[in-house]
Amino acid sequence: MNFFRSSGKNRFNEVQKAFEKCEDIVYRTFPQLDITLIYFDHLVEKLDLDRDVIRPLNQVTKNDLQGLFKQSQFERTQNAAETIESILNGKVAVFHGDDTYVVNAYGPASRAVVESETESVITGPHDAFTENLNTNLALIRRRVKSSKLKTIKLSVGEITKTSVYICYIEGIANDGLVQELIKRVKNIETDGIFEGNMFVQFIDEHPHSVFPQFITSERTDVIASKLIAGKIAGLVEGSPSAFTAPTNFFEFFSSPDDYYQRWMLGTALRLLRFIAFIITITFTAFYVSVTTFHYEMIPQALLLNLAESRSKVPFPPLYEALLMELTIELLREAGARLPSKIGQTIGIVGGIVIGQAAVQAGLTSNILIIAVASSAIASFVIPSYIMSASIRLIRFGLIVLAGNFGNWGLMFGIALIVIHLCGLTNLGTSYLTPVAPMNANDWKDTFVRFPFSLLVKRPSQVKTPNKRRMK
Amino acid sequence: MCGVLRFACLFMALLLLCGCSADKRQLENLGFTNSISYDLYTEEDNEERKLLVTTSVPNIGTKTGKQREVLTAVTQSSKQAWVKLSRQTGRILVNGQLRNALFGMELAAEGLMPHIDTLVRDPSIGQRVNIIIVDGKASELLKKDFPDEPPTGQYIYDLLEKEEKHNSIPDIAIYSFARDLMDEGIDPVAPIIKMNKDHLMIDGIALFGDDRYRTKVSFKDALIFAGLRGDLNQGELNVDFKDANEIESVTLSSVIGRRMVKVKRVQNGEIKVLLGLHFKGSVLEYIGSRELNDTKDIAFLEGQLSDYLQDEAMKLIRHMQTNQVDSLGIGQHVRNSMRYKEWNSLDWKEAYAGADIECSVKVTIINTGKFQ
Amino acid sequence: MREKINPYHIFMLMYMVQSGVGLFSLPRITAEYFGTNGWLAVLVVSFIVCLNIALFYIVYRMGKGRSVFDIMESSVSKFVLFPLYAFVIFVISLTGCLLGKQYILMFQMISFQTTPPYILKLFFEILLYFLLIKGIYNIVKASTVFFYLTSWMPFLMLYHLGEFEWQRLTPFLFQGETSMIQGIIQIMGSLLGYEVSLYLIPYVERNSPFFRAVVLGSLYTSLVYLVVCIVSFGFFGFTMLLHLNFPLFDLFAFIELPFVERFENLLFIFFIFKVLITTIISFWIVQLYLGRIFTKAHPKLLIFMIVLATYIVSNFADTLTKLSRWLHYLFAMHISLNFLIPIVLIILLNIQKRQEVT
Repeated sequence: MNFFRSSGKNRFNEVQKAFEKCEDIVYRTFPQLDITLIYFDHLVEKLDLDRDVIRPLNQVTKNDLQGLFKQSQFERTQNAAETIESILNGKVAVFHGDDTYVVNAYGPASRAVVESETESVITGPHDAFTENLNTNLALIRRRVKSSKLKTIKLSVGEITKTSVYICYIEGIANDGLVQELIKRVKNIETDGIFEGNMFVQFIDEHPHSVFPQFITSERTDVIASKLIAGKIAGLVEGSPSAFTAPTNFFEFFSSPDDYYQRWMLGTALRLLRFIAFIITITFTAFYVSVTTFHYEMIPQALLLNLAESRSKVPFPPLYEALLMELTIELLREAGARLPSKIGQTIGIVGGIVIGQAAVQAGLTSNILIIAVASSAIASFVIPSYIMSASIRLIRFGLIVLAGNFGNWGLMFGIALIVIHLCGLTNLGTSYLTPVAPMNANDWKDTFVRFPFSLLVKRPSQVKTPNKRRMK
Repeated sequence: MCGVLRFACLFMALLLLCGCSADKRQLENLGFTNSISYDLYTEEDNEERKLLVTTSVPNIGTKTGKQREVLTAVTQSSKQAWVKLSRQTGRILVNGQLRNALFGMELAAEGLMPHIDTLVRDPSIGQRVNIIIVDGKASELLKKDFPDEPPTGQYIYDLLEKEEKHNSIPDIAIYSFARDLMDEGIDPVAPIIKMNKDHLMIDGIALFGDDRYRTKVSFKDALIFAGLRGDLNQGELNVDFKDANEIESVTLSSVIGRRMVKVKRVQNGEIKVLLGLHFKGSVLEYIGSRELNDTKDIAFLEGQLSDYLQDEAMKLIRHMQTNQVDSLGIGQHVRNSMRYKEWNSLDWKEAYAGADIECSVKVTIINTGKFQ
Repeated sequence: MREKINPYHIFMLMYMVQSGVGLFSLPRITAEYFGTNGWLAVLVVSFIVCLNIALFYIVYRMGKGRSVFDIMESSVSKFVLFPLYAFVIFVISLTGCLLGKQYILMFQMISFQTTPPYILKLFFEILLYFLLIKGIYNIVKASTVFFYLTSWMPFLMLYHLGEFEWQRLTPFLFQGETSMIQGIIQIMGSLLGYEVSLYLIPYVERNSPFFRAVVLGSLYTSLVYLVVCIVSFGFFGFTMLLHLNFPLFDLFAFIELPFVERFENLLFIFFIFKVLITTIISFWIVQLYLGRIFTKAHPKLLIFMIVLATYIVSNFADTLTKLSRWLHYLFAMHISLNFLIPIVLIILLNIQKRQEVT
């Protein structure tokens, strides 16, 4: 008896020691019952605590205590480590003699469900994920009311112990891919993870590629629609961005808007985005290439204007273009870091003052300004911010190539990008999926968006055992 | 993948350092020759014939006040001239934006082959350079500034573009000239321009026998000539004829012309060619006594028009035959009606002059405008 | 083992492998060697290619999907095979790299006249190396993407219809100075690359319409070639064609868009994709052969050696005329190999079959 008692005491001491300098921890004792509660005040919901622990303990007599502990909210823990982890996860530890129980009263402060700022749509649902994992799961469950929606909980990060949920729909998602993803998550070795976009970098196959390999989204409707297409979704605690897999390159160019509008508009928008992609990547580079090497390609009507504005610029086109591209990137970065009210000022200063003044001061030609501006605008057309940032980076490489080797360098750069993309894989599936390996059926929902009546098959990349939709 | 990245960094660094600077053609350092002209040049006391090459280079962004720079050089060949020309300017002279190649009439009579050859051979020169014959000295024309018009090179280009659209001169670019020159069954043609006091004018169409200028078609026959040469999509025909001793005049607008060529072989080896032309158009101007809403009168007009056009066409054909220029490409049709050996043994130039070429013209008036 | 390659991709691969710079001079070659209406020769050669592919098909059927090397090495001693391998390596690698070089030299004719060709070639080698180390599956994927990037090009020929005239074609068939055997070698040279189907056998799904895709791909290439040739004949006329070194180039130069002139500059560079695949596939075949000889060598090292060696060799071919002379001999050898190898294989397979019975 004494031995056990001391063991209970030991456990309490161990826990107490673990939280030695944590002054935000709360000890609460019920001396008449020989009970001590340990919990973090800010991690627990006051009402739950009151309802599940405090009130019953106040009402109970010492003799009925064992009966109370049989209630389901009291989970018995086996050792100190488990208790500590539970306390960290927002549970209330109840020490009573030899036994330790934990009661879940998790309820930290979190922000409300609001619209996503990075992925706004004009029509469509406006709710987006928050930093709270439970809220996020609730948002998904609310959209996919199916018992087949399975969620697997994993924990990542030696110190942060971040929870990660892998969600998929049983019977639609490919089991092999799910297992592969779980294996990868388990193999992550890191101290901590704070963001979904950060998390996916630990599980992708090509960490040195400039392209994002998992699509992330803050939109619940996007994640839900991908789930029912047979993809696997992952939610990371403390992050509003969820990811889905397997991902292909072209997915980054589709937006939920495409599905909420009429199919012809959806198709037009898709095509617009791919055109924007081409413009972003090549427009400035092509300007540099043409003005440096291939003057004969300029139409006669444009030649005079172009040569005239170029003649005032003291630098070669390459440096001129790099200067302007750099300015635009500076403006963008400054605008992103500043509060939106000041951000607007930056826009005006950058767009009007610098743009106009640079031309008048003879630092750049006005046609270059158009090229740079339109390729910057085009880059923002791409719905995924991460992808658009990658593309903007690649553009610099192409500009340098074009400035040194003209069209030859430009085409070399494009070939290199294609070769690189061909080598990329995501969960073992090709990154370029509906194009290479080709799947004609997937094209209906890649470059164009066909009417729903024709989109009867799930994408081939997910390798679903259940190829037709509505099954 | 890591390799790609590492390599990319290295490569970018290298690129920034080196690059093919020798081949850089930075826009602002270039002098784009817009037009180039070739003339025969003989010094007074010297029999030796040389080439006078003039080029017009638009000034861009320079503060000389003049819109263009004109360079001239006298040399043996056109490529030599190029070296001489570029010695005279501070810009890098390039010909990738060349639009017009003008040839003096005298030089054209000597043969254009060597110059065409240089133009076609140079990959930086486009296929759509206009070939133009100048009545007089081409260099004088190119040197002259026309105060009311855009810079001369551009002026020539605009003028030709417009006229080609209206079919009053054939659309002759360097590729089609060279093609017709090489093909045995057709002889090349080129527009002729002339300078008057302060304007340029289309003077007609130069007809070549092989690469030599032989004769020309005057501007008023240009549309008939175009109709004889091929199908027409647009054009305007002005016809005067006599009706009951009164001169009447009809203008046929929006002319669409179709050409048919039939080659017949008469038994003794003689060649008989039938050219059938069918013009369709609307009459928007008529000065005369007839009523245009009467079917009979329209039929009469159609008859008058086709008679007139047939006469003119026949005159043109005879003119070409006497000068031994097969500008209509009748040879192609004759060739296509023969066996290879037969064609090979035939001296087409000779046969052409003696060939029996007939032409029949049919005119259909589609409408007569909105006023009865 | 990776995923198997599917017939769609074979179709596109065949097109990308076969078409290349040869197309630029092809109309002239048909005119030069076959005389008037030489474009018809493309049909003849296309038929020969199909016959050759039929031989491959027999090997495929009889060998039941075994690779060429397995068939050969199971009944012939390696000492006999290695000299043969060496010869094949020599021919295929040289053809591949010289085709690449030809492209570079042609490119130099248009722009970068004074840049040393070895710098431009270096770019090309870099692409080759990086694609080659990714393995055949990714090469096929790349060829698919490149196919889409260049698939619009045949439609450019529509642009020339306005200037096209049938009477320039003349009714004469193969008249004028001709030398048909040389011509066939030349035209087949520009259709080479289809031999890859023989080596792809172990990489494709069994029982898939693999060879149908091969034939279709090859026919598609021939169709594109044919269209280009007919358009060239009708656009330039026979006599003019004889004088044009690269008629397709002149055809491209004719195209003018409102925002870009002298489109040939860009169009020609688009051909880098085709040339890249042509060369890369020959190098891949060479890599297979080398892998048989140096069984223990690391594939990346082999690839590096191939690329390096051919890069050095290609520097010796510094003029277009020299290059086309070399290529002519190589084509002849390559074509004979294309027929010889499957015939040898069929004989070997027959022997093996008889041995199995007894």
